[in-house]
Amino acid sequence: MKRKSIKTVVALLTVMVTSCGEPETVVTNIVHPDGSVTRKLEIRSGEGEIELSDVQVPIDSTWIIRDSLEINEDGDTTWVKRAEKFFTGVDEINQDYLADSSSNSGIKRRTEFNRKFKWFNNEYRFTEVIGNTISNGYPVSDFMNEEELDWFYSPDDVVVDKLSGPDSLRYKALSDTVDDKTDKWIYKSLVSEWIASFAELAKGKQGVDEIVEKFKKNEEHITNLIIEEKFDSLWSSGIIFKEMIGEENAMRFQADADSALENIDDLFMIDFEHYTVRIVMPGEIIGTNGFIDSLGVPLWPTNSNYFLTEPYVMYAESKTPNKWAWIFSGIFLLFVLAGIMFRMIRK
Amino acid sequence: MESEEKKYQKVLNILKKSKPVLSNASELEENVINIISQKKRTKVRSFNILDFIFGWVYVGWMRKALITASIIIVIVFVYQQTVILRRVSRLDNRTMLIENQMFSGSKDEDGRTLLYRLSGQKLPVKNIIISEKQLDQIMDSYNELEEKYSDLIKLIEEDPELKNYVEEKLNEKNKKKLNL
Repeated sequence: MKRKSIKTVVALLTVMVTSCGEPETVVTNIVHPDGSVTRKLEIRSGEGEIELSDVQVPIDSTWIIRDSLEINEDGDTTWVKRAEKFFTGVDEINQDYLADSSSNSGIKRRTEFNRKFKWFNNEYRFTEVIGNTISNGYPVSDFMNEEELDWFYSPDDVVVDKLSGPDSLRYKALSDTVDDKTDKWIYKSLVSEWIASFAELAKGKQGVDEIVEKFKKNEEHITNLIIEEKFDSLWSSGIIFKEMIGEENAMRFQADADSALENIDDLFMIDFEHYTVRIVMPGEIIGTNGFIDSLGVPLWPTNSNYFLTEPYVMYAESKTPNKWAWIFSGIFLLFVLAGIMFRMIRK
Repeated sequence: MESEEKKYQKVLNILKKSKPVLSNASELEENVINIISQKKRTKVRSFNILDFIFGWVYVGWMRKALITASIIIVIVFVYQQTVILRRVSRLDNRTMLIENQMFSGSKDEDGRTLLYRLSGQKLPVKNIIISEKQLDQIMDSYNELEEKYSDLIKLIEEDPELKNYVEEKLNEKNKKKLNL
């Protein structure tokens, strides 16, 4: 089997990140105090009727589904599918994720719910997690500063708007920097994953530990060769391999190295269609790592780069007051205070 | 020795025979009875509801335990509220995403927002400098919006039911914003 070039893999990954045509889906989790969740989907497409298999999250006939059409003033038609289902807990949602046959079925996803009793308040935390694609990569935060990370995690629509709006030159420069750093991060993570895969495949063979060490020392060098587009030719001619570990070792480990490269090709080729997640929490929101929409609801865009090397954790935290605890504590404090005053008067 | 013993016995006999004479024995008896009956009456009077409720204040260990419990409740309350307020203040730094527009949250590095929240005061208004061009843009946008929505506003104004509905929805939206 002919292996795809590293650049092709990353280019395809980038195309998948920015691809359009799939329906625009917004998943709204309405979390109830008892841990049950009402999940609502709004799926919009300008391409035609929406099939359930096109939807980015698990959905089946057990959902309450309503279809409609919207025609704007220019005469463009949008097909809209609205779906809703009540889940008694996150376990049911997770079961759906496990049995997922949606367009994103290859992605590991789960939800978590925690409730903590803290006397005066009950605190709730709901989390949607998308598992990381590779386990030996580097965190993106090692490569970018705060401003660049903000841009990296910005929704595509916002990025497009900013690049064509006021201050576009500044944003263009920022966008280019983020693109360069994203490439470097992906390539370096890819090399790291390849080394780990090679170590696993060649495990038990004589001298493999020393060779893995040599690869790790050359990680930066290999990354730069990929960026400079020299890697594929040097790899296929065997020069890079011989240069790093010697001719004899290169002959011994060539098959393992090629297999490792095939493995990471497969890992990076996982298809993902993006969507938006919203979480409506019970009570007052006290913490989130998402954006806040006009209704004060936390929301997150999704993108395959967000969970390449680290799990993409989308969480919202809220609290509801325990009124009985407030009343009880107030009465207790008054009682003790009155008792002390009573004693002072009696003295 | 024997004579000394006799003398001692004589003195003792004299002392035994010379008992104190009570001049007003009946009055003394009456006084004693009065004092005893008054004490009983006082005891009956002081057994009231307050003594029953606050009896614990005279029991040392109970008094200390209840005061300690009160202090713990106050500390827990203050700590929890401070943590929550800090977290809510940090939410102000989150980026708002409205109609594809991102609005950066206000930075509160010195914790001033928290202090204003705690004291219930409003944050002081900051001065911003904008250019004449930007001001013109704002005015143009405002005029454009006014013109665009004049028909809609007229429609709403003419229909009291619709007006009420819109006002209700706007209030709901504002409440949700305030809650956040």
